[in-house]
Amino acid sequence: MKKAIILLFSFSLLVFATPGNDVNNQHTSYDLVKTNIQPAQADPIYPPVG
Amino acid sequence: MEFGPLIKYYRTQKGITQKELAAGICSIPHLSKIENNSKDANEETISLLLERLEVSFEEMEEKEELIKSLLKDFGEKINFYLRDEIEIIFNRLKEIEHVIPFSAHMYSYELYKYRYLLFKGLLAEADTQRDILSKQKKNFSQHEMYLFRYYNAVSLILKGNHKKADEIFDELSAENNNETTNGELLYHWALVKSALDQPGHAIHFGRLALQIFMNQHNFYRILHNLMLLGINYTNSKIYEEAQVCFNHLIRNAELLKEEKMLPQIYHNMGYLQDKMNNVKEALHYYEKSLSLQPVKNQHYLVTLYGIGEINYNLNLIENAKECFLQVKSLSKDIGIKKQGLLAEFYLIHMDSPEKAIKYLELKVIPYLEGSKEHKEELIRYYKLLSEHYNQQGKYLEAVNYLSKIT
Repeated sequence: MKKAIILLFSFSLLVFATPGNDVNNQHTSYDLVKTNIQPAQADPIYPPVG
Repeated sequence: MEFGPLIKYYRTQKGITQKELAAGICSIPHLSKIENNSKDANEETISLLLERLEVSFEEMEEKEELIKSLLKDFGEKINFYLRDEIEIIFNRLKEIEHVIPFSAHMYSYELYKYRYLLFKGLLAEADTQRDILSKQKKNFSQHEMYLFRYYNAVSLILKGNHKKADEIFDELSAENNNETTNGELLYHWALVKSALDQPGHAIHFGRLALQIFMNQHNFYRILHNLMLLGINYTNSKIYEEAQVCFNHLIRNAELLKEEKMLPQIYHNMGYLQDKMNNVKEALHYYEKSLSLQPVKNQHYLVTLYGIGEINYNLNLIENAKECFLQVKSLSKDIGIKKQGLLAEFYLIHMDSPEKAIKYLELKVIPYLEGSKEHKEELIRYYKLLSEHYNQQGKYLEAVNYLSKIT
């Protein structure tokens, strides 16, 4: 009985400790790609070698 | 002047035998020895032989001096980047090219010819000239050997092989106890360091070169150097210094109506504003640059791509699409791959980010890895892919891209 209570307690701890999925905070792969391709990729124009 | 071979050259050209030429002046074996340079003849004999060949001894001596002074001028004009004058001097040298092999400046002339071909961007012809010179290099003086190796480095820069060029500059500098006073060489080295994503080194060599060019009042190279420094200050995030360089350049180029350089300067000012996240200013400068570029060449392509990206970032998708479509088609026409691939990446991304990721892996990354000179960009894409796979729970792929960064 004692063992069962400890197990149940541990299990409930595990459930509470696991972060829940926040529906409003979910990043899709699309968002990730969208935000990450923002940095400028354009090249400078170099002066002539001559 | 090597008169023996010169006499042989004119005698053969005029179709005269040794017997005919030597008659009354010297013996045939003596002439033979003179022609083969195995015997020094006195000035009088040489004069008589040349007179019979209708070539003036004094004129030849003068030509020797002329070759020397033209070569000196030629080196200076290259150093000062005076394109029209380089052409004039090269044509004058061409006119007396037939006597140059008999002068003491034969190798210098051939070396400068190599430099001229590189200056003009005639790479195939420059390679042929390099091969000719390579066969003679054991006869070069120390200075000639230095020039040959330096010009080989310039050739490698023009071919995009910056790593090998860097090695040559390293060797040349070490041989000079790291005290190079050649502004042109320091400028080229700064270009190499910049292409190798080493902006700190590029700034160091660029500043040394700038000082030398300023002492020489070497106007064009001062402008080129300021542009190079501006780019490298931008890449090092020293934005204030970069702004000083570009503002200075804009002022001078506008004042002097430097039409060729102005669009490039505006573009680089746009590049700086872009990096500083001043998106609207960046767009303003890129557009100003594009309006001054009538020829649809590589520079036009780079500027147009920059405009496409800014429009994309400002969420002006239709404008961005129009730019990227133009970039894609132009890159095919002029054979510049990078901007074409990146434009295609954005175009695919507009419809399907998932497909864009695949395209990035299959086309863009292999290209950038192959060119070995886009380290910073590669890292950015590796991070993007790593985060993408991490998000999807594909940890093995994520770790694979992470490990490429380190």
